[in-house]
Amino acid sequence: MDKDQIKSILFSNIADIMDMDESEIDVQESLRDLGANSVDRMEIIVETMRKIGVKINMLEFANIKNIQEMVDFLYERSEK
Amino acid sequence: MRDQKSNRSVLITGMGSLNSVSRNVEGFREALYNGRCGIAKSSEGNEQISFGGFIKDLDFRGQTDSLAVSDELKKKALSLGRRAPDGIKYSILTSLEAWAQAGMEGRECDNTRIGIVLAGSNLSVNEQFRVASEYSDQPEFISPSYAFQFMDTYHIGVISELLSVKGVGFSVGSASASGNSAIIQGYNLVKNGSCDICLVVGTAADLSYIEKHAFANLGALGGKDASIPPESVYRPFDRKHDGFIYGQGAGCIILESSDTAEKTKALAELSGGCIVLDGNHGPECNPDGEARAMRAAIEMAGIECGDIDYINAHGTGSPLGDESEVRAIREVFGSHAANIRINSTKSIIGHCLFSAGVCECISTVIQMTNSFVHPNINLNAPIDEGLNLVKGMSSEHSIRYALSNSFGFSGFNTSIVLKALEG
Repeated sequence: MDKDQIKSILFSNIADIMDMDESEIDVQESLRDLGANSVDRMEIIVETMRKIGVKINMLEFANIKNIQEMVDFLYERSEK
Repeated sequence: MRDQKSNRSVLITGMGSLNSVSRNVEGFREALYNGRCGIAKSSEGNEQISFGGFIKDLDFRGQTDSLAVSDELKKKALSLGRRAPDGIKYSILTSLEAWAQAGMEGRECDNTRIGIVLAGSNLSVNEQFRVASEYSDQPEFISPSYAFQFMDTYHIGVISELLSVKGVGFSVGSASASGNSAIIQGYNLVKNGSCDICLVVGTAADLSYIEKHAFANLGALGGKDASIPPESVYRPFDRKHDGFIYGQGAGCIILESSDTAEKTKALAELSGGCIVLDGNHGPECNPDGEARAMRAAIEMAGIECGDIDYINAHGTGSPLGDESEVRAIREVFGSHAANIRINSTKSIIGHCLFSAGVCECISTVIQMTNSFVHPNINLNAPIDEGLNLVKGMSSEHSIRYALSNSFGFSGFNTSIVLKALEG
């Protein structure tokens, strides 16, 4: 899976769970900035990992600062 | 702890309803009056488990929009229900309909004096089954929200957030008597002053094919003769009754203290109700327990047996169950039994299991306020010709006092009394 596909999956999940348009998502913002509470953030991450097919310990997401970093991180850890 | 407020009476001020024959209370009234049966056949394999009264093609967004509540409340409802299982959507819709009818929006109410009682347990078994089937080999991907959503109490959380209800809340389990048990707990809370207003909510039982097969294996399900068409299959109190047919039904009843309610707008009075155990672990019914529950409810309501005009029976269509209830009615009412009109709303909407008592209370209030009794669908040869089991079509009937029965596996017997209001 390439980085664009991963970004697309993440955006789609954010849009669905946060009930917002994908065009409203700014990759420089964090999920918190978009208004996601802790349950929303976990939902988005778990659902994205499921669709990508990668299992990562949730603790490893602790230092991720924004959505762009999340895309980079998921891509780095995914099957290429 | 508040002082006993036992002088207050408990009124029903709002109702919301959703089932296989209707999307709201007015639709339910029309279906009951016209004796329109909601039993159909789904595509599931085994003949017996494919029958049911299903809520089909529900447009959640459209239905929310149609309710007489503010845009703000509609928006909240859509947000809470959007990604939720169907059962939650039903709870939201019926609570909102009842809330609107009770005129709650815009009322100055202390929301810490409003409570919620949810009928039933094991409400999400189908969802649990689905998640277990889908994720057993990849449990890392189970939705985190499932951790609190699988519990019945999630319904209470959603409704309390939607309506800003901050008084007491809990769920009540009594198998197929859960609806009545929840109503009785709501009655107690209002009567003793724990709250002034109480929402009693029942949602559609969402069984997986595992539970349905278990009911079939127990012999409890009707529809054993595959040649009978769906609309003729469910026959409570008929000689050809052969078991129950599952129904999806949701309902909300708002109870309010006579101290705070606008009595002229109230629908009926809830005069009492009792829960009585048989001391039996199994599914067998017991006419003695059923009779005890009816007598206790009548006594609690402060009336005589002869005051009851109408009984909304438990009437599941189980041969032993129907016989038992008929015996219990004869035992309690004696010679007056023949004067009482009796029907089973289950013949119209199916056996709604955990929410049956709530749906049937709504049916009772509808009949009471519209002065009619609906027919028992498919009743051709009654098991007791001496009782006034309503046949054929609806008939006009003035109901002053009604009894509604619900009995449940593992020895639960419940009965509630409803009283018509003047004017």
